[in-house]
Amino acid sequence: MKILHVVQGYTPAIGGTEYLIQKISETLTQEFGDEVTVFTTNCFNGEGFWNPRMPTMATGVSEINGVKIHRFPVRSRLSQNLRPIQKIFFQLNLPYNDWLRTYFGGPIIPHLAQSIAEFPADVVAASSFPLLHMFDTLKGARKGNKAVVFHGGLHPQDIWGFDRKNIYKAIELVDIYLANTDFEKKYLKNKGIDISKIKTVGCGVNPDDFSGITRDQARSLLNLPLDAQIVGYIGQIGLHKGIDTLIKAMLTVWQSHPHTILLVAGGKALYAKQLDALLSSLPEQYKENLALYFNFKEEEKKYLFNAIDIFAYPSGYESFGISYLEAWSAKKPVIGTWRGAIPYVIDAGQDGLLVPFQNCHCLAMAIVVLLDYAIYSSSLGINGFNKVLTKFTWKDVATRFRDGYKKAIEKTKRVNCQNMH
Amino acid sequence: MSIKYSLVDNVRLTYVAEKLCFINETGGKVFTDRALADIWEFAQGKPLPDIIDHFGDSLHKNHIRAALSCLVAAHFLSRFPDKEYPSKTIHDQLPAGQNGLVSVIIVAYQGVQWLAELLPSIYAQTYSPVEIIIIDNASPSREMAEWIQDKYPDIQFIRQEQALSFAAANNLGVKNSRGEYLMLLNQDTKLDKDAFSQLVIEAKKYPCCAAVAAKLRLLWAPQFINGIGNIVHDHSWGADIGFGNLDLGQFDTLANLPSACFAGALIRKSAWDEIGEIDEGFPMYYEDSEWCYRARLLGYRIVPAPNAVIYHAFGGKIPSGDRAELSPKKFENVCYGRLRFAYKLLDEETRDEVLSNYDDEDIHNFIANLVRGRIKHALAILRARRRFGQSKDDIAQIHSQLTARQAIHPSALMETIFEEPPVFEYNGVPTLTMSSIKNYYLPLILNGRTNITMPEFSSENNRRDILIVSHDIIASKMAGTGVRYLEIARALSEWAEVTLAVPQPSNLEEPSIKIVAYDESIPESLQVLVENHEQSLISGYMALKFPFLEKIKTKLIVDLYDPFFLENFYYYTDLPMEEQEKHNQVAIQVVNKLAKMGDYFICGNERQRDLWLGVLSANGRVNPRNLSDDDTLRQLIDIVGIGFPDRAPSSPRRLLRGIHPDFCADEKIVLWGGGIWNWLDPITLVKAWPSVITEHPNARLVFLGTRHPNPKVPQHEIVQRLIQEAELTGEKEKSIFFIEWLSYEEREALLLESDIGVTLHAIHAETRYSIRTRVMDYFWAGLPVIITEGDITSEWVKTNQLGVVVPPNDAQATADAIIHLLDKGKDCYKPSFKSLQEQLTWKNVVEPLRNYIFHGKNAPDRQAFYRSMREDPSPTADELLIRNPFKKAMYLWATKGFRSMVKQTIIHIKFLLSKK
Repeated sequence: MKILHVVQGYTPAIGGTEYLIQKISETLTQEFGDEVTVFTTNCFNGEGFWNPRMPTMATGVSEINGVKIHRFPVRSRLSQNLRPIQKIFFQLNLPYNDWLRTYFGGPIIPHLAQSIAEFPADVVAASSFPLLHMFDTLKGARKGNKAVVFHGGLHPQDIWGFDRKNIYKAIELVDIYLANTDFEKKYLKNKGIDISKIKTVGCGVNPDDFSGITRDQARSLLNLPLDAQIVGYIGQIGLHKGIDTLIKAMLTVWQSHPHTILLVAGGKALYAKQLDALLSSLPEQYKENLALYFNFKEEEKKYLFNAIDIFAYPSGYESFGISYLEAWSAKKPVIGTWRGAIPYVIDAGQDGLLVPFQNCHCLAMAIVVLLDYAIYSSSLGINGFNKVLTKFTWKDVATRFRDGYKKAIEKTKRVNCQNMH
Repeated sequence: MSIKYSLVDNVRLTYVAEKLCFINETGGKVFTDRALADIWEFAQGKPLPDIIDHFGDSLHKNHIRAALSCLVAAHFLSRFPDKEYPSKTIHDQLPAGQNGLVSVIIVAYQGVQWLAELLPSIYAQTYSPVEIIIIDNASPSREMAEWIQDKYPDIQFIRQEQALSFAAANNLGVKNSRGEYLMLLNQDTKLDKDAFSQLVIEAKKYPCCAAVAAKLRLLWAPQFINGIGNIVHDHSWGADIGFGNLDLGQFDTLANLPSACFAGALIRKSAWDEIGEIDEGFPMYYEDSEWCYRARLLGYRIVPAPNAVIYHAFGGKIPSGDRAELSPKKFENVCYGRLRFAYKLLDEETRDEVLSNYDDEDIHNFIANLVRGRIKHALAILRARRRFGQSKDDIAQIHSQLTARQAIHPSALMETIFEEPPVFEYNGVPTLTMSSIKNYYLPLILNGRTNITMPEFSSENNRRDILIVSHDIIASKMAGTGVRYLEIARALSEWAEVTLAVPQPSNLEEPSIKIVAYDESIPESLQVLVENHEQSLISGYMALKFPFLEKIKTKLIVDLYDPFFLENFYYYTDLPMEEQEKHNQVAIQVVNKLAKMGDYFICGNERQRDLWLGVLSANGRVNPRNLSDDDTLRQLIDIVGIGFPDRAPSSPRRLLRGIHPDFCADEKIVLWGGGIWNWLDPITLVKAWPSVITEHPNARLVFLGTRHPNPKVPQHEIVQRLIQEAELTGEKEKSIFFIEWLSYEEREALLLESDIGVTLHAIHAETRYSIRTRVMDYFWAGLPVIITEGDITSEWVKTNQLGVVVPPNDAQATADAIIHLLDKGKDCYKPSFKSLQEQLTWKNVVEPLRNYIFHGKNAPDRQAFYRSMREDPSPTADELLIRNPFKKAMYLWATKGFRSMVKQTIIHIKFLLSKK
């Protein structure tokens, strides 16, 4: 199968979608023998689409692990000029504010649609909304009479980003839509999209990346005590990720389990000040129970996840929640929230516990239950691990992507046949 | 390990006659629809949970499971591992002894290609002796004769130069046969190797049966039914029963059939001789039905043999699936056949009614054929009618002869023997669609009317979870409530993931149950557990202690086995009336809260169920919504009483006899085997004791537990009075002993050592509705029981003769009963306990609860909102609630944009103007 992926960034660019598409592209090439080409930008991250001062990569064609990469230059100055006007149109909900927001967000890539139309692919798949390249992909694929698949990664809670009419009109026109979770699928169904063309694919993880190390070895490497119980928070640090709720919950946990350690690991760029203030407001006797690892390296993730006993990540905004998969890969029980897509990833009571978002009392009790009942905890962790093995390895996810592509190709062929007749 | 699916080799999906169609490896066709085809396509290489996940939004889980089960049963999908799921069918064995000769009669016409398949399958039969007679019905060439002579010289081959009717040809075959049984077969059939054995088994089982019908399946779609016998309708054409049905064993329990199809039927020769030959007046069609209906008229039965499978090439070697119609000649024979059938067999009244229906249909068909330009078919109807008119007198004569011999009234022939299954076919080809699966096959599966094991519905692949919340401690020492929840949890853990939530950490280790503690002072500690389970079993005062339960979206099962509001009357007797009233008001509040919050309720016995139905009615829970699917209300409240462990009690050691200094090895133990509560009457027992001890100086009275094992529960007031009474008798610590609670295991040892179990109570409201764990313990251990009359267990004691029922407060009667039972000895009571012990195992007792866990729904009257803990991403209905026009305009602007706001405003202004 000849596949063209269109994505806003590709390694070494950083981001969830960028990583996902890299993994899918490589798995399709290596496991299924597909010919995968990626059209992407020369930016390292999303800020580069509207900020001309951000560093960029070289444009042109290259190859990474068997995948051909074509990096296009981005017109970030054009986007930048739209900043104030899109804001006004959005606030007043004026006509075309969706398009203004989209053009402001970029990436504006001249000739992208034409290049897609001319590229000899069986299927064109684009990720992720609300970025402009999704619309270019639809335009180009339709012009070139190719099957087109969207993998949108919608976050319904983000009004500015995703409450845009043009997104849902575009989704109506594609052959297949790949949703991260059934939550996203239901959301689109409620938006009036034909459910038969929505397919849930999920995200993936490589469980081997988290194996080969014991809990004690990981703790020794991270200088963590061997005999204490550790509650871990590993991921992006921000208010919407519930770190504040977790810290408040720990105050209750420490009353009955005074030696439990809270390990917080992640990038704290945007939320640094608030977090520092929150941590410094903790009673002195509990400050010793904190272990902080900021801006850790990707290789260290394995040690962090293996060192903890419970993964508590009470986030309220996840389009999927890949961190839960990573915790399960290390056979750890997880705690998430009932918010958004998370209950569609964690099976409550089966492989983790769910608590109401921002409810520190319930979160504390969930932690206490898992701390007190090792057998219960470990059964949740093992169930999660088995779920990863059966549903969320990269091969599983790539197979689901591929099924979606095949369906889109068949659909296009059928339509072409009917048109010929 | 989850089951996975793969497509069966050489099965493909294509379009035939513009309809989706499965083509099997032999080229046979089965029409389907897009929804089922999607599941089939997607299932390749996928495990069951993935398939359910994928289609879960548009289809109910059970629809997906049923679809997969049916696709496997149809051999369009295979599942693995499959070897663990054998068929449930058990084939009967032929009884030992001499078997009767089966004469196989095959009417053949240019049939070498068919016989080449049929004859080997006859020779491969597990049954013998068999003789084969083939009637060559005027085949134009001698090819078949030569082929038979060459390959099967032992077959009796009869060459017929002039073509005979099907009836006449079969009659000729029968005349030349010698067998005890006649096996009529069409040439286009093929047999399972034990078809004859199974047919003969059924014939032997029912001596009054004239014919045994084989299960005919389609040769080119072998998992689909051609017919389980056939039927003549009083308003339309005759038909094969169950044509096009996927064979899931749904017909295997049929006892009688209206008629057998002579494409594959076994006839008892003795019956044939009495009933007569096949009526040669039928040129083709209806002759087999007429013979079978005639047999029934004469008092015989027609029975099916579901394990005798014969494959029939109905419609040809491989039907095309295109529209096919009978030739005018065949159409004429069908029209004539049913008229002859009705006129010959039915009484005047029934005949008039049936013939009038046939007249209507013939007129309709005549006009329809004329309109469609099918003149030959229209004329065929006229020819059939003329022929019928000509033969009417002859038929009337036969009819009168039959009337003289009839054993049943002819009108009974047309009565419905069983509910006729739907026919699933299109242009003579079976259909298997999502709609037939939802509406027909799934109900069969769920009602246990199929005979194939379907792992998709097994608990392993359908495992549910439940949280059982005990308000009492569960530990090595526990009272009846703790025992109840532990045993329910143990019994359910065989099928479900069970978590047992207890108010204090437990020292018990149960490998199949997760035991987790909650803190009554922190409601969130229970909230987390309840929210993370599909369903939770709660009881009593939890409704008050945990207000979140009123708003919980997961399913709530409420245990009402303890009529606590009645117990309270005796619990608080020492308090002033105002205090008692306050307690009562709280209890009533709790009862009402429980009644409102439950999706499903369980209670201890039928008496309790009546009481609680009253409470539920008073709280509006007995309402049209709950009654709509469940007239009995068993899906709202059912009985889960108290049971026994699924084993006999055992203990490696003794606790008292020979161990305790006051218990010699031969002493008799009278046991009060539970708590001493205010609503019981242990005092009468102590008052009776001096009389007992006079007669049996070696008797010892043992009271178990003066306090509740939960230290938070205060001692009941009656305990002190009891101890004083015991002291008054002078027997305390001599022959009356108070021992503290034993562990759950030690309790077994005490039960085994004891000779009599006693429980006494006053007659009051609580007694009528209660059910006591201690009595169940006595039953389990086979201890003869002395019990006061009035409660449900005293009735069991009386009915099953398990001991003596005494009047309330009657010390003398109690003493007499104890003396009587001690004289008699406990061994002579043991056999009386057997049936109760088998019936009341915990496994049986929890069955209604298990049923609810797997198939129960949220109570229909509690479905006002979408009951899921998961957030529903549907848009809100806020807009509808805004009445102020300006606010509404602002809302529209904010949510739907400027243009929408302007548009709606214009519409609204136009509307206002038009009103003016």
